[in-house]
Amino acid sequence: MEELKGLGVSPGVALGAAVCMEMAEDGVIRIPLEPGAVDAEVRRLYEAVETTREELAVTRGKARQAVGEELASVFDAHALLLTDRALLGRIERRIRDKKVNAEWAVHKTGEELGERFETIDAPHLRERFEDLRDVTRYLLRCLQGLDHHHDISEVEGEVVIIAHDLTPSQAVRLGRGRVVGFAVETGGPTSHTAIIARALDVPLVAGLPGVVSRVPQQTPVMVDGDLGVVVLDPSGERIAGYHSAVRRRGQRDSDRAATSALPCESRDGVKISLLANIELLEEIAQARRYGAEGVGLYRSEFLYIERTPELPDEDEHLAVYRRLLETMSPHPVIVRTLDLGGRKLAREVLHTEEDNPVLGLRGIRLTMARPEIFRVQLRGLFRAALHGPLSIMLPMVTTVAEIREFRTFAGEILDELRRDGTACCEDYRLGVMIEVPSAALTADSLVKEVDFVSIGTNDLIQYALAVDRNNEHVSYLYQPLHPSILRMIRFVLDAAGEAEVDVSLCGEMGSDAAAAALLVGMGLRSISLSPRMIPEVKTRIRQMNVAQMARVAAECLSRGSAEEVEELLTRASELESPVD
Amino acid sequence: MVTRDIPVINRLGLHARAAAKLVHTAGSFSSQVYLAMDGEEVDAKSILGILLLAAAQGSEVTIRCDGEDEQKALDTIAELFAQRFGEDS
Repeated sequence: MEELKGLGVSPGVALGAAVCMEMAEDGVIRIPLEPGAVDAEVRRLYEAVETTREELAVTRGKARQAVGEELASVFDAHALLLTDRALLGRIERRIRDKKVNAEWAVHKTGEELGERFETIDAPHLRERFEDLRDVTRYLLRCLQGLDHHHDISEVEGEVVIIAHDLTPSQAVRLGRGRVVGFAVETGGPTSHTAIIARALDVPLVAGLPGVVSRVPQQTPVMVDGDLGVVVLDPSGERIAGYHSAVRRRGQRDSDRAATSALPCESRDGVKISLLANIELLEEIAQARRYGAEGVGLYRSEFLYIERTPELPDEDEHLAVYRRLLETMSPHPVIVRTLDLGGRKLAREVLHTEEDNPVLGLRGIRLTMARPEIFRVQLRGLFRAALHGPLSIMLPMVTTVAEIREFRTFAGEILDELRRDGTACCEDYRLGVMIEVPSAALTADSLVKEVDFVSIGTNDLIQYALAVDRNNEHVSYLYQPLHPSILRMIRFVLDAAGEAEVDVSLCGEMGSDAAAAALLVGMGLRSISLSPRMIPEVKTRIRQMNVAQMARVAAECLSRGSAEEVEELLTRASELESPVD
Repeated sequence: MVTRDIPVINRLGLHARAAAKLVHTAGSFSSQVYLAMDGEEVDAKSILGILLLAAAQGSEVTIRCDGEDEQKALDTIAELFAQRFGEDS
């Protein structure tokens, strides 16, 4: 037994057999094969070779027409490599000897031969490695497109994936399969991968350098996302501990679900709406189970993340939004339009590269700059709106002009749908995220342009306090209860109240029971949060007295530091009389 | 079995296109055709082997043919080298 300490970024405990996932560039994954599957895998290789050769012949034909025979003959080297017994024999041997998938065998063989080419003295001969690399790329592309494309999710039994890193799209694919836990070398709590693991309820421990090479395949592994530890080859005692943890968790889960039937109302009779923040459709069930009164934030970028490196098409948008609207009906659903930028996906898919992406082309700025991409999402949304009341929310809005430009653009899309006779619904509610200090402090103008606003505290805090909470040097300064944040929220609540525009809050701050109580004291009546946090926050709200908290909140707002606010809150909760 | 040492005289040596021609030519004979240089022998019907051999201009390779049409194969391949694989210069 060996215990490795990491960082628990998705809660829960899992026990399964280790599958160490090595991953190379081009997304090639090493997948161990059952001995009986080897022959089929070799056949798959030769199928891919055949297909690639046919495709290459077509390409060569086109090239000859376009540029002439002499230049087209460069493809001959490719074609020859694809019939080369020495090359194919090496790949086949690797599949058979190592019992690995064809993709990995192709990749490793290419890498190995590449090293040999490196040692060649004559540079122009060394360059011929390019031909080989082209051929392995063609083969990989073909293999990955073939049926029976190997996916680690087909590995039998309960599996714990041990990987250097997981991309969000891999996490989605794996988490939906037979995988019970993840242990990765890199990554932190705010990564998209962590968000997905939590959404799919798969424990994830991150920050385990070197773990891939330390764990032999198939070792029994326990992943404890609550404590942030990974136990290799756990003892009988640890396994017993695991089973009781699972039981406790199940009990806690049903206790929590039991609160869903209770009204979300304070002791002095103030009703609060708790809605769900959702990334994946899987979470709808959770949201309903915990009694969410709607979806206050569907982060549509996860639809893009799942599809990366491709962009989702209109029908995919339609299908997801339709399911959201239908399954949550009659409750409201707020879909936030694509909010990406500056991240890996934005670079890979949208080809944007910026020095300071957090202050760059993101949110509504990005979507309005790329209307051809935005158009697809909006068409999907308006078509889905036939199936339930739709609210559209724009991220990163900082000016009134952005809202007006959006309305004009949306009008054009609706015209377009009408013209081509596509069924759609023109009624929608429009809202904006308030997540930049300038938007918070001009909320009185912004609210006149929209039907609702939602305060996004994660970004608001980061921008207002100039703190990246993932930066260990300054993360101590990431203080949601800083009076500057509270004052901005107060300003937004007042502005929305005056204009009689709905206001909600959808940042993580709302899932902290103490902070949520304070926000309710400040006048907030609707919070959107991660579904699994709903029971806890609801319990807190049912214990509180809003009138009393309003007085505490007024005092908090006059203070000068987060520490003073925290102290006030602690004292207030101590003074609070117990329920009975 | 017949063998012959042949100098590589074309400017680019056994680069991709020359290698492709060599593979095609070797492949048109039923004999086994091998190419050796610096103690390493490769199958002349395998482009990978030839490319890995990386015979540059000025090097000398040994052709070995074994089979029914070995003499014709050897002569034809030697001629291909002598003709610089049809390179322009």
